[in-house]
Amino acid sequence: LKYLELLKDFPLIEDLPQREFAYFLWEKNYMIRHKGYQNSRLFYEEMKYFNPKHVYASAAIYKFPDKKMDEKGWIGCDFVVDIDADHMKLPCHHTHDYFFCKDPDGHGCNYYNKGSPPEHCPECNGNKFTKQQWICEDCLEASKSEVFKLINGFLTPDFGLEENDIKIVFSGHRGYHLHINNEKIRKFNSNDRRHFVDYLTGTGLNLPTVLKFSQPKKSFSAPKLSDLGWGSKIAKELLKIIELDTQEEFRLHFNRHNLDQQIIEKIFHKENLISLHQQLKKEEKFWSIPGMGETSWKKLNLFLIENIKCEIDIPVSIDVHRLIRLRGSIHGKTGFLVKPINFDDLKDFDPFSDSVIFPTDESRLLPIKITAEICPKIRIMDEIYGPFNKNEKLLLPEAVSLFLVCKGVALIEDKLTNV
Amino acid sequence: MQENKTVELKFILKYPWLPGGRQIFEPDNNRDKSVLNNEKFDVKQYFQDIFTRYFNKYPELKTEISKTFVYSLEKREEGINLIEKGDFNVVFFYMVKTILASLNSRLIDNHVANFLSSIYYKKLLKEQEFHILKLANYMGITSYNEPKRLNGVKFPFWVEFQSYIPVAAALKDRSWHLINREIEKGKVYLLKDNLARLLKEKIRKEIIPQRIGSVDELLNNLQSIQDLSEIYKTIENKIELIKIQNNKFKKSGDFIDVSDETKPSYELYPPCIKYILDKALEGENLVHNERLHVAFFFANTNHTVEETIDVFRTVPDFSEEIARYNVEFSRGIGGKGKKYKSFNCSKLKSFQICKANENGYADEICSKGVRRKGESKPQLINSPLNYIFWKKVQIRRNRVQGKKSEDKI
Repeated sequence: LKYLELLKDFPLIEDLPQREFAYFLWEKNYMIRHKGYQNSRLFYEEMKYFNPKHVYASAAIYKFPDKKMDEKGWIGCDFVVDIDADHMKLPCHHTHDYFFCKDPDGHGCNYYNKGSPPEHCPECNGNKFTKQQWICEDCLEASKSEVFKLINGFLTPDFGLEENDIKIVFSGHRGYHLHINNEKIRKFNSNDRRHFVDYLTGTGLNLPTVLKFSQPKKSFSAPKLSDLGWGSKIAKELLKIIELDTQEEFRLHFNRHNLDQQIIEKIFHKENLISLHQQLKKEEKFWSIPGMGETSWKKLNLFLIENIKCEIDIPVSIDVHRLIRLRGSIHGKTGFLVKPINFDDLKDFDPFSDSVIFPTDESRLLPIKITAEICPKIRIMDEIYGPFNKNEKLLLPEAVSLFLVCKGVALIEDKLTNV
Repeated sequence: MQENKTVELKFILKYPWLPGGRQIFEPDNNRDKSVLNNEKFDVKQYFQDIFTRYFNKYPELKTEISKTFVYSLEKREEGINLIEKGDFNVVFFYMVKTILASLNSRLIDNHVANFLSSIYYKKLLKEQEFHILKLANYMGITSYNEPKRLNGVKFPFWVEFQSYIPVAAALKDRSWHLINREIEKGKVYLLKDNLARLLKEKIRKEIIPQRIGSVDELLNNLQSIQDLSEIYKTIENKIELIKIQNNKFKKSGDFIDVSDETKPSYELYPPCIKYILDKALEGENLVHNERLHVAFFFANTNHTVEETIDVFRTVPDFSEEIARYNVEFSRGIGGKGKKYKSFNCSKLKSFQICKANENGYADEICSKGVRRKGESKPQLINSPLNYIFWKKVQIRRNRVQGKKSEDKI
């Protein structure tokens, strides 16, 4: 009830009567969709009655949102960017994500280990696995960094989009959604959106034009710091690297993607560092380092591109009928609020505190029993809970218990039912 | 500075798709009103009056329209005269568009749209920068003339990215991708010919009619007009001729020469090549790698330079000069003298050009592989050139099997 009162203060979603809504119920594993509401009161009433696990609204607006897809009458679609830690190759995944040799029906030897599942189970040679993904500070920090990169590195300098044009929403789980409000972009079809996304993800960059290898001089006709668009991004990224001075610092800051050790050594050779720095600063037409041939330069360029590009969930952005988790709803896999955030507040936004909606104090405790083999630790507000063992019975603040139940690693003890 | 959006008459007379053009062509258009008022309205008589009036006013109209359709279907790049006399251009444009609507053929739509937009493009290149800018804004491409010098090159215009993307996304050449353009604060900097090229694409779309209502009825009404019926006859004859030529081209598989010396016929082409040729024939754009694949494949299968260039004649941005240079280059004529090999199958798959499992093109040689002598399992072919050999083998086997069946009967 408290949550519903809080919800009334949220600007739920613009153009509500023209949106398609959808939801998942707790006890049924399918989506109820093609729902339309003339006003927010009707929407709240239905939500109160059904109390769904997940709630979505269409990024698109339609003439008849509650009709079948081909009868809806598409008017336009917000441009949405989904930034999700799950799509990033983060080292922390190997510390808190597990796989179990178990198919959806529960068959398998139950062998488990950290990281991504192998092709075959080392115990029984089975090939069906269930994943248990967790979230941690590093995951959500990486997602947040990606939001800053997207806004400060692309949307504002290249596209002139200001903070007012972009709505940031914490997804309630592993990342953030960005909604870009622009009437003309709303009319983009999938192909147009693909072009926009290609820019953000560094896809289709005409490398032979941007960086052309010159065989006799063993050098690259290089982009300049003062260029516009991707050319300058490449030059700036290289400058960022060579200003790090040492290989150790480089490894510390650029650990997400691989670069051949030989190339790292060539770049961080003292004379080469100075020379390359001068070449960049003087905006020389060619970059050249002794011993760096065409293949090495190409590898370095690809590495730079990998670091510059935004890691986003591409299908979300190019789909013109996408259903997006409704801001203001509660995420059914965490119990966290899907929370809109002002750009100025993003830096200090702490998902493990600021999106917690259920009580975290002693006043409301909920008994649970751990049912999963593995239950890693989790921070809620300033307290760290866990790790817990299987069959452990706990009496924890409601927000923590609900997080563990929603994550599928615990059941409520008095009823022993999954929420 | 962005230009005022009220379209000047002199612009409409030159570029008739602009707002106001149709009103000049059909000043008394009360077809829609009649529907609303439920009045009796003789559509046939309406077209009769309007078209006859214009044919009388401009005797050269019939020839120019006929030439437009014939030259379009012949894949020419020029040959008609956009006469700037009174409202001639407006009348010409909407008559062509109305005839296109009645023909209801995507192929003819594309051919005519490619042909006419190329002619307008050449005209645009001769326009002053100021006029191009005005036209762009009239056509919904929000553009400004705030020149910027980048790397020593002066870019006279910028276009807001929201206007740039929907037009440039239809252009297949990689250089048009936003990622390869000079962009800052939402401004995409362009040269004069860049902006003219964007306009060409917009014009192409303007020429292709949106069909509402019965096309058959429209065709009947128009065919009853004497001058138009002659134009239809000319178009029909041309289409018949092209059909015969295309059928000859496609059916030449009936006379397959299984020796390796001759160039393969259409039936022996792998699905990836057939798909690209059909796409080009429909007047659709080809992506860069599709063009290269055809050029390299034809260069390695005894096709002449002319035959290869002919494939590209129907694509919207065809330029004989560029096509010839690239086709000759792929054969080692000029440049470094290096003849390029045909792409192999794995490369084609990575380019998403492989059509082994595509509806209408799927082929077992490509999708299931072939069984070589002494091998128990079929193996996938690795080059489209190998396909020709295995297709010949398949045809030979089928012939033998067919003969055996006949013998049994």
